[in-house]
Parts: sequence; structure tokens; C-alpha cells
Amino acid sequence: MIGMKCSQRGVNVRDCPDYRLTFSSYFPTLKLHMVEDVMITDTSVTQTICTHNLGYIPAFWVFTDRMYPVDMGLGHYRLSSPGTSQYLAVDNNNLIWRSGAGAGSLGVRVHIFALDITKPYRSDSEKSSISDKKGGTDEYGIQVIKNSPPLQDKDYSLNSKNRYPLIHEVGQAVNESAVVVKHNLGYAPMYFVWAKVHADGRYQSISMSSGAVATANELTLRYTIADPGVSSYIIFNDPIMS
Amino acid sequence: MTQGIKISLKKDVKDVGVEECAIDTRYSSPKIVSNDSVITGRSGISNPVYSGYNLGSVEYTFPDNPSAGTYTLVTFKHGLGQTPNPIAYVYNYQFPTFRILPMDINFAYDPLQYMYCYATPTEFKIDYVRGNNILFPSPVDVTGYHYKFKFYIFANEGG
Repeated sequence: MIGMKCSQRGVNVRDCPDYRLTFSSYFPTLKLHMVEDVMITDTSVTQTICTHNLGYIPAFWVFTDRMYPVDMGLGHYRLSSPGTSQYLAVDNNNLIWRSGAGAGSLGVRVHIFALDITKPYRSDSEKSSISDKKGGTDEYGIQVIKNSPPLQDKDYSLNSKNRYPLIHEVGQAVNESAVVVKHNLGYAPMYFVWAKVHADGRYQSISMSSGAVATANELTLRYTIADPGVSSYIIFNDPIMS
Repeated sequence: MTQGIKISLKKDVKDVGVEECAIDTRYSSPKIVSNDSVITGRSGISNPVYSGYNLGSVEYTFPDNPSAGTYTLVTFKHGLGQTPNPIAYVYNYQFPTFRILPMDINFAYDPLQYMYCYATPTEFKIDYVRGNNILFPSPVDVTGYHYKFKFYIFANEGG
């Protein structure tokens, strides 16, 4: 098998577990198609938050500046809560805010990834064990600069001082309400889940939404959605806990 | 011409789009920046125990008979200079799996639903809001409840 991989700084690439890699040609990474900070001035009406025009259903994250149901004030970013994620939904071209919420304003930080969550992928996992063993050196690594001179983390396309979530599996479940995914990683992995659970047919995050609790352990990812429908998930080569 | 590196997944690199690449440096990927180098301070109502700085995990046990109020379970200064994007998973010893914070709002008596993971321009925090009004129904006694948190702090790629 021909390929290339690079470990994090200070980790020996020859024997490190997958999650200690900065990249590997065995695993895709999340690539940011767009990041936008948007202020929704009236949360009571349906509106397009951003247009991605990818032509497929992309993975997305939305962070908000309010702590529903507790308003902690501006400048506090958190992953969209159960109270807000039900209104945030994506289709082939847009991320929208659905009507139904009370009137008010909300700041959102949108991440749209160049990854079709309806297109299954499973990697050939190499070393999914957990290990903190060192053995490399801090003196070497790889950096690819996006903006010069690099001043912040965002100015690097690639930097082996950082970790990047590597994708173990992208999957889809059709006409299932109780979904069980055997990932065989041997540890509870980082994950995200989206589903079509609304009449408009768009995908929303359900990882923590009402009626759709997702959980992971060392064997499986499990989640339920209210009605048998269509859902997609991403499982990463990244142990939540070692 | 844009310079950079592109590595494909099992296919000829000339033929694939960004979706089928291991890396494509025309794009940024979310960078996990939480590690021991950014943790400069911590506090909590009963001294949360850090178990592995480099993996960004923390354990917390509630004290006896906590009263209404906001409890900071985890806090530290991230030192990044701008507000990063935090994501936390919680391990509940009463229900031993990992779930993303916050929990389902239908479980009115589960303290997990009132735990919030968030970031400010200077700090990362996990708070628990305990109350007794309509938003926060009379909470269960969380005395001795023990949680383990794993958090990811991603650099802000926007701006």
C-alpha cells in the first residue's frame, strides 16, 4: 500500500496510534469550505444563514453566542444547544434558520465542511489502540503556511504541532430509528450525527437535540431519532477518553 | 498558481476533489489546540482533578448538597487571543457512555442538561446552572455525582 502519513510533533510516526497522526493517506480530514460569523436579527422567521452551493449535504457545526435557555451574553461561543440546533438545518445549497423560535437575535459561527455526509466511507484502520508513548522528537515536523507571515493557528493549512480529527467512518442509516454502529475502534470515539427529522427534509444536528440522544462507548455509536428516517454520522479516529 | 500539498485517498491525486483527499492545503482543517501548553489556571468548587492534560480531560465530583446557583466545573485560560470553538463530551458514571454536552432538554431532572461548555476570548469553561424556577425544575440531589469531561478546543479559522 502506497501512501503517506505524518505524526504529531514529538510522536514517532512508525508506531503511533492513528489519533496521533497529523495526517495519513488512509484517512480523510474535515476541510473547511467556509466559516462565517452571522448575526440573526430576528429568530422568529425562516431565513438563509449562509449559501454554500456544494451541491450535496455537507457536515456542519454551528456555534452560538447565547446559552439557551440561559443568556450568558455576547462573546461566549458554544456548540449550538438543543434549543437552537432544531432550527438550524442544511440542504444541498444553504444553511437555514427555521421559523418557530421566539423573536430575538442570535450570533452564530457557521462551519461548513467539504464532506458529503450522505456518501459512506470507511477507512482501513491501522492502529486504533490508545497510547501516549513518546519516541519522536520535537525538533521535526511539517508546516504548510496559508497566510504569510503566520501569526495565528488559522494561518497554517497544516501544522504538526496540532491535532486534526481524522475520519474513521462516514455512514448513513435509512429507515432506522434506533441506530447502532459498530466502529471496532476499541475506544469511545469523537462523533457527530445529523438527521432528517423535520418535514422540510433538511438535515439538522441531532447529537444533543431533543429526542435524539447519541452516545458512544468503546464498541458502538448509538442514537435514536423520533421517527424512522434518514441520518448520517461521522466517527473520528480520536478517543474521547483514554 | 496556488502552492500547497494534496494527498489523495487510494486514488490518483490528479482525479479527485477535496472530498477524497487526506489533505488539501488549499483548505484549512479544524485544529485541536487544547493541550497542556494552553492550560494556565484552573478553579472549581471542589478542585476538579485533571487526568491527562494532553488529552484535555477533567473529572469532577459534586459536593454535598449543592445549593442553587452557577457552578464552574472546569475553567482555564486558553491564551489563544480570540474566542475558539469548544466541544465537550461528558461521561456519566450513572450511565456509562459519552455524550455531547448539553444533554436532551426533555430530561428535566438530569443535571447534564444544565451543563454548558463554552469559550470566551480568554477562557474555556464548563458551567452547571442549578436552580428551582420554571426553567430549572427542582433538581435532583447531585451529591456525589461524578462526571468525566473530554473537551476539544478548536482554533477559530474565521475572521
